[in-house]
Amino acid sequence: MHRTRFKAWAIAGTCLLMVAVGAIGARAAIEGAKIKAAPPWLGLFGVAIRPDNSIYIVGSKALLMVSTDAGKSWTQRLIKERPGGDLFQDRDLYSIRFGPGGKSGWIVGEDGLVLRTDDGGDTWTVQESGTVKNLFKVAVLDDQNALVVGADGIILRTDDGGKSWKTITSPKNVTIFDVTFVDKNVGWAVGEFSTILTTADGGQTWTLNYGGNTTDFTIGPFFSVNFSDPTHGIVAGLAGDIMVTADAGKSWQAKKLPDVVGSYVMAEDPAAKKLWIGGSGGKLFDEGPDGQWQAVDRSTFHDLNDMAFAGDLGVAVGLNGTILLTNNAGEQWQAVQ
Amino acid sequence: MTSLRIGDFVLRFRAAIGFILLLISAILGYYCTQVTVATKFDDFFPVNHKNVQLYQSWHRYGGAQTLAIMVQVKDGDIFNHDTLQKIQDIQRDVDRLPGVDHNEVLSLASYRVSYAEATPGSLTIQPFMFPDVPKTAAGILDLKKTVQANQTQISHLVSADLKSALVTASFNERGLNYKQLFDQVQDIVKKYQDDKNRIFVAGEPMVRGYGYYYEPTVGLLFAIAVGVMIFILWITGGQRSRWWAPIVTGFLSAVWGLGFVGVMGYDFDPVMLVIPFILTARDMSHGIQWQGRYHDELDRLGDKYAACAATTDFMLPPGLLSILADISGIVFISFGGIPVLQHIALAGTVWLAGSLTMVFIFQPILMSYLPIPEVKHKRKLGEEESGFWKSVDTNLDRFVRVPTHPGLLRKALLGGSALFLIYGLVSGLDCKIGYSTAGTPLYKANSKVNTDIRAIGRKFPLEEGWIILTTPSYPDQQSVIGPNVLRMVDDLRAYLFQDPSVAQVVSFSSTVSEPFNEMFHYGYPKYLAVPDPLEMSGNLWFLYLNGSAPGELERFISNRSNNDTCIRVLLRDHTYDTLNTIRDRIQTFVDERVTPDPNLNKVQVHFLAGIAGLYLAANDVLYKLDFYNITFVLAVVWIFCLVSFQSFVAAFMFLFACVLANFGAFIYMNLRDVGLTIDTIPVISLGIGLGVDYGIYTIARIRDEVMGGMDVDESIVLALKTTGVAVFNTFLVMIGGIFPWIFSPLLFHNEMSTLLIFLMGTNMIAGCIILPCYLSWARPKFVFGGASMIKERELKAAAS
Repeated sequence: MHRTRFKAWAIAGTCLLMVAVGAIGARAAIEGAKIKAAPPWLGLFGVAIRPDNSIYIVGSKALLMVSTDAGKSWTQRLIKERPGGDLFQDRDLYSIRFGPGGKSGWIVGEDGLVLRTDDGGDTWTVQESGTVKNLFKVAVLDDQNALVVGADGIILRTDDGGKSWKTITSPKNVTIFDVTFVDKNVGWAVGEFSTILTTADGGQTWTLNYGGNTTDFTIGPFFSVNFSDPTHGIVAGLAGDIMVTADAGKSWQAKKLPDVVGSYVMAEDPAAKKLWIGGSGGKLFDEGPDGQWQAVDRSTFHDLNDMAFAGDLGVAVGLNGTILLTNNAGEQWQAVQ
Repeated sequence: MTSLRIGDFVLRFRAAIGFILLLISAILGYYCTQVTVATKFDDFFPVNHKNVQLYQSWHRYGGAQTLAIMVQVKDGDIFNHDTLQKIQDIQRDVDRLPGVDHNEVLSLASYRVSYAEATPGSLTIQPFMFPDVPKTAAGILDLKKTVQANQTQISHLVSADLKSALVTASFNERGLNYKQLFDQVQDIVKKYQDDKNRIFVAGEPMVRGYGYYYEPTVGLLFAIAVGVMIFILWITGGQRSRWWAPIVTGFLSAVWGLGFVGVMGYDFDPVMLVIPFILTARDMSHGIQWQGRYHDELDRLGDKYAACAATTDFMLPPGLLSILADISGIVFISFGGIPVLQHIALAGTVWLAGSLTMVFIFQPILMSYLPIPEVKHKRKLGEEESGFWKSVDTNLDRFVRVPTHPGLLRKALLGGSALFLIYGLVSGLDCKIGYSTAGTPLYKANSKVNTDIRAIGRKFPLEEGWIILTTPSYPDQQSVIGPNVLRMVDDLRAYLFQDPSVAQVVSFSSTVSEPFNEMFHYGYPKYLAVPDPLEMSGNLWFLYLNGSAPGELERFISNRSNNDTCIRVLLRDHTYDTLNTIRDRIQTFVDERVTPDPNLNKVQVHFLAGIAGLYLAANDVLYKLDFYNITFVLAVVWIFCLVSFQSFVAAFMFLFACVLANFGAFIYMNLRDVGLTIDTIPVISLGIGLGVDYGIYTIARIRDEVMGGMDVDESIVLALKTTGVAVFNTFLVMIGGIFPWIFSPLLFHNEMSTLLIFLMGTNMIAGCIILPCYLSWARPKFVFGGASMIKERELKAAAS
């Protein structure tokens, strides 16, 4: 009798242990692998900070990295974007943005890839975008409305949380690199041939504001756009070229950054009310109070692709796994090694 | 026992046989002078292995023999005029080295090493530092910024900390003169090294070239080793006037062995000098055995002809057996298909056959012509002796009686040997194949060549493995510039990078296609991806072809049809684990990513060529070779002993001794972290047979004495006092000859000499103590059956 009881305990104990191990294993699968820094052979293209200050970074080969402690430690999450076991064919992810509450969010990427989260980035599901063109940037208006721009003039819009994506006709068949919204209605987008597009109806229709002469190949592109209020905006392009408007795009004034640079990212630090431009060779500029741009000491020589700010926390990401962090609103930037 | 009567035959025709042997020696002596001291790189790898064949068929992607010269600044970074000028000068000097492939001399100063820049409306490709080194501080700063901005493209030539720059060059394998190359590279080092700039050199040509650098030291050690051997020979046999006879036989068999090398036109690698040395030492040890027995027979028979004939009859069978064991040890290493091992195997076999002929045929002839050897001083039993010799005798007497006393010591010896065997078996299973450390195991860890390799390895990956893709020609979607193929290569790159031993993966996809796609799209980083569709990829290929230096594209794609490409995997080291892991990973990738993809069904993936593939090929063969070699040698020892002693027990007994010694070798290799490599395997293989004869000689003597009617234990004591002492003398001569190699600047000599001493020591203990212990304890029939037969015969005779 005694023996039988012992046996039963042994079996129960073993089962319990197996369940515990299984649970730890399952949790590991959700949590993903802990990593010190991003793999240097992968490019990082997009970064977003949720309201709880957790940092989300996307990059090549379906890389999604998350830090919940202001960049001290990182977890690499697996995105299963296709059924089956073809892990090797993961596509590049180019842009990530969350909705105002931080629960909903989208990732867009290579070959028309669109992913949606409803749980603050824990799980992502593939949405049918209806295109195979590369999607470079997503702008989220609210939980239901978002807009995506990309290669060869592609503009996609959803008003149902991504259940359906509608293709919007662009006035110019040029690649669009960046899109931003001043409010729920007014938005701006920039692209090849110094094209500047604008919308007044939340992105349903777009009109050409500037550029777009596709016959002149000496005209460079604009990579990034920012409007700090409905009237004041900046667009930035190749070789340190920028243009500013103070009248909601009625007129644009050409200016130069203090260095020759491809300005791939422009981002505003809402707390400090400060604008940043980052780009080729890791060059970084901030706008002084007098509206003059100044170069910041370089912390990397790799191209920077995206930036995000929340309070004093700021993150810039770039090629070769580059992550730059600041905890003092950009006074110092430090590379995550 | 002496039914063979070969001794009589030899002596009857001694003039004719002696003349023929001397004539052959004279002819081979001439060929000795034709031996060239050189190293052929190709000879070190198994010709039939698919990696070697792959490497040879895709030789157009560059040689495996890469020279790497690193300039490292002590303070600051390389961006000062002096250092940059040195980089350019070294680039130019390296381009003038003999046998260099001019298309494969790369550095920051090379016209081939360029970067692309996007400006509105154009894409410019320009070299970093060609044709001139910037002269102004602003120019140098610009260069520095350009290098930093393009660090990924140039990471193989300028280190991430900007303190080191590399000049690399490939060489054409055929006819490379390592000595000349080594000297010229040393001249470059001397010319450009100064207080501010240190210069390090690595690469296969240097590893081989250092063999010539150490040649004088190795030559001196050779002379010392020969001197020590002769001295010990004189000490142990000097009381006899013919103590020098083994030197004559040793010399003549060396003439045979080296003459054969000359006849066959093989090259003699100076690093391998230790092998002929062992063979000569082997020969001399047989000679000593023969001399010992000859003097015993002379004492017994009193007549030199009868003594010569009897010694030949007695010594030839065990001698033949032990030399055949030696030959079997070395001949099987030729089966691996590695030319250098084949050469060693064949030349070694001829050398050992020469030993057999010289020691057992020529020596009796020589002795028969010489007057009866005088004994200068001989101690006689019962005579009053000095204290030293008395104590030696007492101790020897005590020692030789150990096997016949059934005490604790004998049990401990038998039990201990069993435990040793188990430990050896475990070590044998754990034996490492291939290189276990970065750098070369030929030289010591602190030698210049290895410190240089480590210094460079810390900054730049040195070992290169090639994956070759063969595909349909462009414009097929599956040509090497088809988007699906480029994407697959990109996936492979990312997958391989997960292995920390992979430092870089260089492919057309990652090095040309993707950066060009990015540059073509205004340098926008999100276009740092595979160009799509096929036409775009084709356009970028054409852009690169027109914008790059002649021959530059051929580093990636060998022809204009775009139906083959080379992916270079740069590894941090060439250890066994690194190489095997990388091969397994590639195989997994092919199985899971390439094979199931219908868009890649016309693509064939071949791996692994390049120097890493060659090492891998050698490892594969060595692994099998060592296994087969040991099996074959043990089988041969077993069969020979079975035939010779006509007893299964005897055969297993010697097998046990042989296994014991070899497992001892495994224990040593395991403790010293010595792996089986192309360099170590010939010595280890020779070592398998080395010293088996100790047991064979001793047991044969015991058996002879028992057959002669002597008591079993007395036979053991007598055999140990006579043959055992001769065996010990042999052992001393061998040790004396091998010991000086411990002081060689070459780690290989150092480790191999220790291994051989260990191996022979174990064999001697096994042959002279453990086996007699076993004989006395177990009383096997093959020895003692004879005694009972004699007793029976005597009883019958008495009865009749």
